[in-house]
Amino acid sequence: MDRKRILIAVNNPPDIEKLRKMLAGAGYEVKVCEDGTKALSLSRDFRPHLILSELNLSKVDGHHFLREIKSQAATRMIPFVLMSRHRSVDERVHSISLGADDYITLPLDLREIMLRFEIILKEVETSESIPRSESKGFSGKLADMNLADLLQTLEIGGKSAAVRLESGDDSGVVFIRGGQVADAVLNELEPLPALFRMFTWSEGAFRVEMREVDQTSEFEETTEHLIEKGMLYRESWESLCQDLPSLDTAVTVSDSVKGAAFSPEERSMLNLLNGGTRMLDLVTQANYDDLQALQLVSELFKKGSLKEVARKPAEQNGLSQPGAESKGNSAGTYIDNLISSFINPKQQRLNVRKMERRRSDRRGRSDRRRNSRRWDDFIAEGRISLNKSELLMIREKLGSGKKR
Amino acid sequence: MTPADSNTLGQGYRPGLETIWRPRMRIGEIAVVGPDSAVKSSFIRSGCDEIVVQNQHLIFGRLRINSQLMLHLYGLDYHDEQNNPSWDLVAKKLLGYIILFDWSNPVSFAAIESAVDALPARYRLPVVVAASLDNNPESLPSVLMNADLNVSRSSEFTFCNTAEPESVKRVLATLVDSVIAKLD
Repeated sequence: MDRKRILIAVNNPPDIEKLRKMLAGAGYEVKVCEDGTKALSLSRDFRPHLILSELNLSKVDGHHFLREIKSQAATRMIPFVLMSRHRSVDERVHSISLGADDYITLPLDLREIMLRFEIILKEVETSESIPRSESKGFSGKLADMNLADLLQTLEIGGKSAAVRLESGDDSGVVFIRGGQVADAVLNELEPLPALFRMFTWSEGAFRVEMREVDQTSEFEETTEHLIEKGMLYRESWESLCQDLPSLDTAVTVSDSVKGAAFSPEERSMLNLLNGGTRMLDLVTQANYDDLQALQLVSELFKKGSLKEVARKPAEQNGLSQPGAESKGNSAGTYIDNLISSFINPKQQRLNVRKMERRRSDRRGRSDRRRNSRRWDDFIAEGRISLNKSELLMIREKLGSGKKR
Repeated sequence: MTPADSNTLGQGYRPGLETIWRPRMRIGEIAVVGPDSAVKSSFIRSGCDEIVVQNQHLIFGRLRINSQLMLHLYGLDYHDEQNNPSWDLVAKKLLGYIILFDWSNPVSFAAIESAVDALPARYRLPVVVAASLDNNPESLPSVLMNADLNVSRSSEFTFCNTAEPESVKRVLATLVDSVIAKLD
């Protein structure tokens, strides 16, 4: 039987030689390389059964290496373990959301790492022995099954999974533990706004990976309540969108804003306009919840304070370009100059406050979460989920046909 | 900032989530079990308003009863029960099961014969065994069929044409009747 091959990509951790010897002694074939470029090359040539990579690799960092491995059909099934001195939950979650199978903090505990490798390789062996049609997970289009449908399905079975969603240039992950939403990761957003934004995605793709989830819960509410809120959120979002042109439309300040009065919230939105800014970018850049930002955009549009512009090539794919001023638009420049002198430092402070609040909220929520009720608590085996009057309503809808 | 904080906005802000809250949707779920994907697919398409997802593991359709109540149908393979995650996903909160097979195909029945015995015993939920007559409209009296299949007293047996919505709804109604009877 072939020996299992392990590729180790490290920058400079002192214990690697010990680990290499220990792994070799346990029967593994081990290769060690010192930068990301070599590691990428070896991942194809050496065909490892497992990759251990340091986050701070030279040339190509660990996250980039991980993305490359997970993006290639030939290598995406190789278990990938990241190691780093970063102990923050954010870093760990980010790494897992990129596809890492495990995250180990330095310094290394050699016995622990050996045990983890054994478990991962055993899992792979087990999953490979299952026919493909029975592999754990499924994927599809958000147009067919949106986030609410996915969460509901997972909640029913009390399952643990990572649900990866992609829409446009954005991608996020929702972690489910025992049917309950544990965390949502999307850009720099806090979990709840991240989750709500993903509820609004109607186009794109999803992939559900059935696996254990270690994340501490970021949510106090049950999945059922989050779904309800999410669906309502999405409905409100779509309702606001009905009064607006496509959110891909680029807008700028119209001439009618001269002398007009604006609330501070409206001013902060106007300040984000820079020549031609895509409305969706305007919403996602704002320091408000997406729905509130969209509400403000809608109000500004109705007031005639925004006008559509042809998009510049440089702005086709991304956010508005800071510093790229709107030539010939004196009103836009006026507003921008007036407010940008104080809004940008404020934005920065707000971002820092957001991060601090998120950390402190996490600690509190994890305690409160323990007391929240789960579906499992009130679904005994065989118990019927609807009451009699609801069943009679269903019966009436189905008609009175008699059995043959 | 969460939606609950949304009223901190300025005067232009309209009532938000907190003021337009509605009762939650109630959902009843039924598993449609059988070896033939085409038959299951036809059954669920005929019985539902919309198909939400269809893949190799699962076909999932919804039938809206009213603004607050919905019926979900999940088409699953019985032989996948041990390993198919989609089975586990829906197994806990079901109203009951419909075991569906092609009446004209002995292989089809052989594939679910064990389910006819095992499901009622294992999950203690109402079960309706439905024989699809899509390919063979001539049927035997169900009393004979009951005897042949040795369908337990807790299971109902019926024929259906999966291409006809009324026929499918009749099968669903049979199951709902069993659920109501169990409540009584």
